[in-house]
Amino acid sequence: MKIDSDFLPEKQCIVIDIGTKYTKFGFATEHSPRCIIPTCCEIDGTPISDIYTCKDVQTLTLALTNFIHMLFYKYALVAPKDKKVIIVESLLSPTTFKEILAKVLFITYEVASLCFVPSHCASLFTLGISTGLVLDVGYKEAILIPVCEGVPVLRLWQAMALAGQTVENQIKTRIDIGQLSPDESIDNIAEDIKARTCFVTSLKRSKILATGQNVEPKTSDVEYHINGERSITISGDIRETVHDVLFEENIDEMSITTMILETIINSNVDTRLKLAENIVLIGGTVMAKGFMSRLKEELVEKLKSPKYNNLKITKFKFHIAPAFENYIAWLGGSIFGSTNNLNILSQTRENYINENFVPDWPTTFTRQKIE
Amino acid sequence: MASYMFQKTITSICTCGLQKLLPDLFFCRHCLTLRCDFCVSHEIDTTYCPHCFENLSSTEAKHKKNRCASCLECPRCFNTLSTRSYSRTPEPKKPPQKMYYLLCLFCNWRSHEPSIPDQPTSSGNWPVNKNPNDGRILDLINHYKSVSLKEVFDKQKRNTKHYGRNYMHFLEKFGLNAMMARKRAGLPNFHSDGTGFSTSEISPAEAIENVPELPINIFEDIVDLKQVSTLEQRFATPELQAENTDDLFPIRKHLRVKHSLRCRVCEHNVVKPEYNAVKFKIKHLAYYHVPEIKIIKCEPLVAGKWSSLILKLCNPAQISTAVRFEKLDLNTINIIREPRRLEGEDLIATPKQLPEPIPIVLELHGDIMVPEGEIKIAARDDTAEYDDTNEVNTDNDDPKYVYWRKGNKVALKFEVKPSENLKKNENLQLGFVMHFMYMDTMLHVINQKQPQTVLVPINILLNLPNSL
Repeated sequence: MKIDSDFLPEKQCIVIDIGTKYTKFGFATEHSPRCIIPTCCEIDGTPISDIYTCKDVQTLTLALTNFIHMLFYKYALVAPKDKKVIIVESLLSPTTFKEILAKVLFITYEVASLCFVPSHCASLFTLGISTGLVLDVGYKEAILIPVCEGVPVLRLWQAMALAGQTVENQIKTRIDIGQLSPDESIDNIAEDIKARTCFVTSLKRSKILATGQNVEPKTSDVEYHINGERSITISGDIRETVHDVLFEENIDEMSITTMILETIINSNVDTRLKLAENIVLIGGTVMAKGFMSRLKEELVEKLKSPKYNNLKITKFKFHIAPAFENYIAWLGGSIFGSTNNLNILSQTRENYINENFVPDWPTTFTRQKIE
Repeated sequence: MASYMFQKTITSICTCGLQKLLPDLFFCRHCLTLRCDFCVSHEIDTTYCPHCFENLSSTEAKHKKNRCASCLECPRCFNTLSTRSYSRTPEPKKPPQKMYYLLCLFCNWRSHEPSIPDQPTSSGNWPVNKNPNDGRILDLINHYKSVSLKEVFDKQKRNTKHYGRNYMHFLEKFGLNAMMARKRAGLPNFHSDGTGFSTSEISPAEAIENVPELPINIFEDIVDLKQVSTLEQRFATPELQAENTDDLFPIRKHLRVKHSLRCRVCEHNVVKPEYNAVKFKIKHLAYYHVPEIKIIKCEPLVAGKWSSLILKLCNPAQISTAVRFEKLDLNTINIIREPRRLEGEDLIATPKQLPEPIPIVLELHGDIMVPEGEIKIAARDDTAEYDDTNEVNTDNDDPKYVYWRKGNKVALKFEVKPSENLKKNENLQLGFVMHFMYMDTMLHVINQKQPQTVLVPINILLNLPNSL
């Protein structure tokens, strides 16, 4: 059996990206996550479907302890003791969550070191560029943070609750799923319908459909079977227009499109062009078919409006990473974990126990290097 | 039968503060207290395949990415695939050749679907699907590795700038001797100060303006949902995420681990499995030490009235024990948690920070009258069951509390009074402390002393169903 010389003495490094809906998990230097699993766990037999909504410190601690336990002993099959851990997290994730996660990992599981990597910066590692406008459309919200020369520009952040969940709510209201037996969940069915039958239609078709007219060619209907017993019909119109909610402007004239344009208009004049030509889309929802082309169409269309007319931008360019969009941030964390910088920027357990706090940014300040 | 184990009518409060059933608890013989799987540290003992039960060493498992080399899973329904064979005659004159393919006996998926060629061996060198972007990601990793190394070089260069005129100490540090040797051998010189250190260049990704459009036939095509994979099927192979069920490849079976459990406080093993067997070397389950409590009879509960409750205690240990009861004091329940140490027990050298205990928040809905005095329970004797003449000495028992007694079991009378404001259909939660006599044999082994008996307190919670 051939054993690579470089993986034996080195401490294994584990990369975790805890999303609102799905958690990506794997080892650093590997090219894809080992597993993508739903972020849910059980406390004493009661399922917790969304860890991020646990407000109570006690419940959150228990939920995270159980969840990390499952990750390590069911999927990683390594004891977390004395391992290095990288957490890829959004910059807007709550501080309490971060603190409790650090406490669980350092005290309960005794990991050697921990590093929180901002997901927006890490995503650029997968492209080899240092400036980009990173838009993360996940399950709960769309978060936009531009990154200039490797530094996230927090002043220009934009976030809106327009993501996978909004689309699923559209499906729930527009499709009559009917009565469900207790062991079926409406959330799972809505997600399944979204992932398997829906796509993002073009701007032209969406405009015609919005006026109530028929469009040619008409999208075919789909027979969807629930539990092998009943079947419901999902009409073609619904299939192509459920994602439109992401591009509809709300009362403040904000949508995913205007989020990008607002960021560009507020940014420095010198970086505007560069940002517009380096748009990076990450997160599971952007994997919907036609999302990228629709976004481009919407952006170009919106440029004509008087508000954004004075922007001297004529085209938008998008990056395509060598990975699926739902684990780009994870892959960035994995690439980061393969470099020497991990040892410099991580917080060690000794440091955590002495200082008893988690730094906001990975820095070398007050830290000793881990060997 | 197994369901009675999961009824949460009688729970014990673990030292960490969680409410657990007796079969879920462990008993640390050194700390003399209850532990549950939340408050012990888990270690990985052996890795095995859940299908073929082959044990793998941790290095081997790591190398195989925690997947079994021989067992495969159906990509559609995740059941284990079986190998099927058939004979075929490639040429008329040659002997027939056996060919193998994979079949899922549950959903009838076969390896012909993603057009995997049939294999001539039964173990089958089933093709391993590769991530199509491997090359690019490897380039990126190498690039960032060298960038980070260059950073280190630059930093070293900065730090060594202000040394004195004497460069002798650099001789070894920068391997000047090695440089001389290279020069003598006629090899090109390399720069040890990092100036000549070249980072492997990569081409940064090019953004594109012509983004992929929707396929033109997406509108009119009839969608056959049987052909579209579910998210679960896609995420089973994150690097491929095939959307068409025909492109799903068999998955290698994920391995599992046997845990060995260790008490966090005293670092002694609580549970340790035996290698290559479904047995344990060490198993200190609470079920083997703590008397088990079951409800036999309960009079209808009336708010504000006393009604009798009969509990059966069963001693699982081979030595006789005695129990004493106390009322549960909610004020002190969170104060004393980690039990006292035994005399002569050596302390752990480096006290480490332990997870904080979970505060116990309880609400009792009534009053309970517990039996007074000490009640002895005989040791477990497996032969006693077949002995009809088995007489138990009941002389010392107070008939006010002891209902009956047989072998290692005793039934005790309790009195419960639900509080006046008990709501209808709300479970009646009551608690008491049970002290049971535990014969501590560990100390005897270490210090050559006589085994001593200790009283171990355990908080018991009753959750009586109430249908007033």
